[in-house]
Amino acid sequence: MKNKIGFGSWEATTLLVNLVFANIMLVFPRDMVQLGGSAGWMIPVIITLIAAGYFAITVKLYNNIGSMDLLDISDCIGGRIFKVIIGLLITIFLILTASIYLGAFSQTLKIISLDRSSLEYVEVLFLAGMTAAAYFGVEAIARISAFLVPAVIIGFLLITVGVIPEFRMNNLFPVMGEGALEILKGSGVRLSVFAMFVILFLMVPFFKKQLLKKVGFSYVLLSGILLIWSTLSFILVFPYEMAADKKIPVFQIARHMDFGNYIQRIESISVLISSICALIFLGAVFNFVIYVFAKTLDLKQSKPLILPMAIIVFSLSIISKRVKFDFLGDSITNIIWLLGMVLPLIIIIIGAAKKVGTEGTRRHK
Amino acid sequence: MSIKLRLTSLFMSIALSAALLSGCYDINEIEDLAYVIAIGIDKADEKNFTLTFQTAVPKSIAGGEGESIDIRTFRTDNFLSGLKKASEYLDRRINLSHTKIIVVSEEIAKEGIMAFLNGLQQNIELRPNVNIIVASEGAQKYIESIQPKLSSSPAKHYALLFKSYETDFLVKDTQLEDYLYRAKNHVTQPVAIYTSIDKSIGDTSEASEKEDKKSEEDSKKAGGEEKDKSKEKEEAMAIKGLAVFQMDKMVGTLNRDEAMLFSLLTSTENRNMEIIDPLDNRFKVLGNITKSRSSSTKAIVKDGKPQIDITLKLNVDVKAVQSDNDYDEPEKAAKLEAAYEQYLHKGIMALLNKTTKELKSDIFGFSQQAKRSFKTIGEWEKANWQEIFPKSEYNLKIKVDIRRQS
Amino acid sequence: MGLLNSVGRYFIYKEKEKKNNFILKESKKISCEAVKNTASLDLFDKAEAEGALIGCTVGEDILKNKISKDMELNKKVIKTAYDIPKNSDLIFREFNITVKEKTLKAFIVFIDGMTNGVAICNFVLEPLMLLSNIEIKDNTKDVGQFVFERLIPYNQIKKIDNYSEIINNVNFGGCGIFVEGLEYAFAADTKTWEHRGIEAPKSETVIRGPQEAFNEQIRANTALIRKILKDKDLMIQSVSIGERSNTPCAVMYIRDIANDSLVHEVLKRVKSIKVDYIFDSGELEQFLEDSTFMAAPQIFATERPDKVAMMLSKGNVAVILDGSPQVLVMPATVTEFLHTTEDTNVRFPYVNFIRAIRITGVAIALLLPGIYIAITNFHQEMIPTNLLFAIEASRENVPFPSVIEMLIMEFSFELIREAGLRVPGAIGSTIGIVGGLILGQAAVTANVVSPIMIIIVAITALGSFTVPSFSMSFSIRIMRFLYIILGASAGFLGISLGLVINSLLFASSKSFGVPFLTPFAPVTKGKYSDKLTRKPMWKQEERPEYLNVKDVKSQPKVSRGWTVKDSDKEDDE
Repeated sequence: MKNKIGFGSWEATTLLVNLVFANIMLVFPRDMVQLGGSAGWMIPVIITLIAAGYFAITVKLYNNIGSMDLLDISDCIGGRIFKVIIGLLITIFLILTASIYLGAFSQTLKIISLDRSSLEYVEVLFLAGMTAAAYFGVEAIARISAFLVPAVIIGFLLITVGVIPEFRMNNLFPVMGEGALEILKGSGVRLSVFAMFVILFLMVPFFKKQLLKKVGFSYVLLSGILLIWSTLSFILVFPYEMAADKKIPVFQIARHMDFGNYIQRIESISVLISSICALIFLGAVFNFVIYVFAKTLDLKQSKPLILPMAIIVFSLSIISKRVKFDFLGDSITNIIWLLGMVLPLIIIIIGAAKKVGTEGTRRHK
Repeated sequence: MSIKLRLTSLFMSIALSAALLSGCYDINEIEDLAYVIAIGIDKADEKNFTLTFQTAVPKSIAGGEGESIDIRTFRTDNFLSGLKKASEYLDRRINLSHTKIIVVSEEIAKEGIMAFLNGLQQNIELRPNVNIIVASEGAQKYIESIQPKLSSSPAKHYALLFKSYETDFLVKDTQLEDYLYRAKNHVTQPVAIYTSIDKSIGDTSEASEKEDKKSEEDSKKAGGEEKDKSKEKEEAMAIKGLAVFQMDKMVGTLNRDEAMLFSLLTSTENRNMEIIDPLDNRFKVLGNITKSRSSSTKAIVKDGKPQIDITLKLNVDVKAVQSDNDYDEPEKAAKLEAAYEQYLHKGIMALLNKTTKELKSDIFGFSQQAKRSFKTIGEWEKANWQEIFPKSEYNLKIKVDIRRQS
Repeated sequence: MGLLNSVGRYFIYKEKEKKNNFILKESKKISCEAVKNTASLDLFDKAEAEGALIGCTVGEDILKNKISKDMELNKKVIKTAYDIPKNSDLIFREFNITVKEKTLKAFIVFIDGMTNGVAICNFVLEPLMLLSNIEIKDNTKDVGQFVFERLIPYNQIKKIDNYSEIINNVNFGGCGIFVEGLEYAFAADTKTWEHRGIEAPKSETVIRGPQEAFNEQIRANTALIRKILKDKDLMIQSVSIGERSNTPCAVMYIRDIANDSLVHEVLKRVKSIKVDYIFDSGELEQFLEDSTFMAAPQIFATERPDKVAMMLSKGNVAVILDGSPQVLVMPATVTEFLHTTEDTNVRFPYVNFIRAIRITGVAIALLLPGIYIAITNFHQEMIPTNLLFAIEASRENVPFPSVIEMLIMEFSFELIREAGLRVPGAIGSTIGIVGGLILGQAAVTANVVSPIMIIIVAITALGSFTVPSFSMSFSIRIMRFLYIILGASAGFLGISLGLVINSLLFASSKSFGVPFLTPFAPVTKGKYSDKLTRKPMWKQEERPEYLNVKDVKSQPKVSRGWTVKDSDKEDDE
């Protein structure tokens, strides 16, 4: 292998796709149906196209930048102060993401199988996986996602293929669902599912710049296909009136699998899939929290940060569960999540305008 | 090892064991649970209900081969506390993940069973393909009357039972998931299996009596299967047909013939049907009807009235002819076709009229077809299918094609 | 009378004879240290120091001195070094030789039992004693040169000029030859001893493939590999490990395939081991490996020469230690532990089928008990109803919860395995029958254990036997217990937590610079096609590129010449 500390394009792609896939496993199809009715499948199409356009713009701008990630760019733009601000912003953003998703995953799992255990117990288990991932470093997480994420996606596809006998084409009608306006509004709000572009731009130093285009476009393409297919299969199985009641979409789809007398109720396979997806998601996001924090403040050692950060994430997620506010589904929070796409765009535009990369590297590289 | 390292590892191991042991409240050993196979709901008096639970008793306790069943009945005023009470009587926790049927008595069905179903819906243990049965004699009687003789376990009995019913009429649509969906929304209305005790069938444990019952049942039903005389025919409960609901209240029933026609319209499986032989009035002809793919149903809403066009293209395989007529010859085959068409046309129009005008509930799912002509959900909901359905007009075309004679 | 005596013994007191009680005293090091400190050879002449030296060993620094011309001094050094009259298998033979009309004193020293006595007689003593009388037409003036070149017709002989090397050679079966007046001595390599022959491999048996295994002789082992590879670029570098044991060790690699830095690293590690005695390649493996505490092995040990030859041809480096029939090959990735040599000897369809079964076996061995516990305790709705009732019926009368039962069964199975290894041959097979059938059956009938559990444990054991490598199956056994505990604590969540942490552990560990999970984790772009399934033999054109070998191509594109049509002969066919 040529890279010593890096990883290849496949690992990066699967890591990012997993970040979108976690959203699918939690709420995405249901939200689509709530926003767009029976035409909810159009929203992922629009979202994917917008994301692809966004990425095409940013990668073109990256020609001027070279192999630097967001923090380096902000360093070159505004010096240390700017870098610290941006770095802290990104850290807080990722910590909030991690804690909200941690709470959501534990809640989902509690509903499905671990009914009577306390929420904290389930969260501690996820936390253990998260901190272990942080101890091993970004390369380890990227490497295992190279073969675990395809397995997870294949499991998910098998679930959706297994309910094909239950597909009813009539569920797609009325064709325009809630109406074109609602669909567009929904797609604007739900673009937040691609909020993890910020992690893509943080990963750039790990693989070479020429791979950036390939990684980004395959990420958008694969996520788009998964989003569209999951929404389609969800709508085809459940008519739009019922869909709003299904709190955990993929699990509910899996409940309908019925082959003969013996393969029934294997929806616990979806527990396995969503646990693995959750662990890799949390591990990756948390890893980047530590990495960004250490890089922002130019710390030499990042390992001592892990346990305190883990405790912060844990407490935040417990607090968020007490508040009883549906973070993942609410429109306002989704718009805030769009920050994950807007912020890198701004920084990259400024960086490209200043032609940061062509002036050679500065001291912080 | 230094003292610090030793203390740290001691602390970590205590923390780890505490973490692992503290949370797993969810461990249930298999034998700690009581698996309920059938739930029955009856009306006791004004506010109370009687709940009947049929649980499976494992082999080693019951002794002998196969499992036996244990039936208990409790009086309660709502479903959830009834569940809890049952746990008190049985020494194990109730687990609903292997329930196969829910039986409701007719009186309750007429009043509306939404309260029960809502309580059951959130229960994630219940499978979505639990069948709902309406028993005219009461749920408790129905459950007690089931005596599986040829199956070693009641669960298997039910599973095979419903499989065999699927060839007669639609068991699929009577499952819990569909039922809940339909009961809450103004689209297709739900149906459930309707049973009552057939008093002409006596208690049976000898082979000769089984023969009697078989021939009786054969003449009762509109068509029997020749192959695979499954074991399930020998029970004392007979399926009378389907119960038709409007939202969650029962409004009427369909008998077996109507149920057969209903399934002919809405599903694609083969059906066995017999009609009177056109050339000889004393006998009947048995045929296996398949709906070909080119049959279609179209529904549009015109001027506030649904206009429904049904085209049925059917293929018939003649299975048995009781008379000596040979239906291979073209003229006789044409006569048979005409006879089938007439019989079906009459039956289906009667059924459509009954459901539309009398029962006023759209169990066929025409609303799904009508949806296609609307652009947005808002428009569809404005059209209010529920109200305009009783005004619908039908246009029925049937074409029968005799394929071969066995 | 005897009866009276024996009865009397109880009534009449007799003083007990004093028995000798042995007390282990601390050894006195003082006198030897003081003597050793004086590194000067003159001490040997001093009479008082001589007395102190009796009972002390000779120090290293004295032995480093050069051999002197003085015969008496040489004799004294050798005799003291070995403590010769006491050390009974050291043979010391003095004789005279005549060289160019001069009579010189000489002696040989060798260890009886480690040397070929016939060779010494015929090729060392006889020529020196007899042939020296024959007129040899040679103009060499130097006595030593003359003796070396003409008088000792032996095929392996060296000139050595210090004592410690002579002693090392004698220790390893050589014969030391001292001649008066020479400043050096000769060492002849006459080693012969009783050893085991080349036999069939004991633990890695294959149906299709050679049936030779390594034995404990390093020369025999290197010869086995040489005769398979016959490559002039096969390098066998010799290193000696162990300060006292001086065990020879050979590092093998193919010079123009293996990566230079890898070879350099292996040699560096091997040479830097400082230990007194080393006995087996297993110890060597523990000295060489990257991470001692990780559950998975990082160096591959095998006793089959064809496997080592195959791995050498792919660019790996092998280390043979004298005295151990297992050869270490490094670096080792996860695919090495799951492949056998039979995989390349067998046809394409069979190989992929066997590999599928083997991988399923590994997955079963690792996960089946954990998943069973997770399903029956947390996710009962997954089980089909009939099976559920069957399990429930069988578990009805069992006193323990299923986790405890599983742990008991696994533990007893490990006991049976260990016992089966230690028990001598005749009873060995009976243990299998007793342990497996009768105990299991009795336990089930007594309602201590449920039959389902026995089935699960038996299938798991079968799965673990399909793992080809001994150390990997060990690590799977250990991890299986962890999975059982995780499955019991949180169902499928615990299992997936275990899977993720396991993969993380594997993904971040390296074996000599190559990540353990290659080729899955860093997905490599090379055309190496022997990862999970194997492509046909004629398609394996490249060597694994994660080893960064010098020569990547091992087959040209068309490796079967007969498939190409001869354009001339078209009309004839």
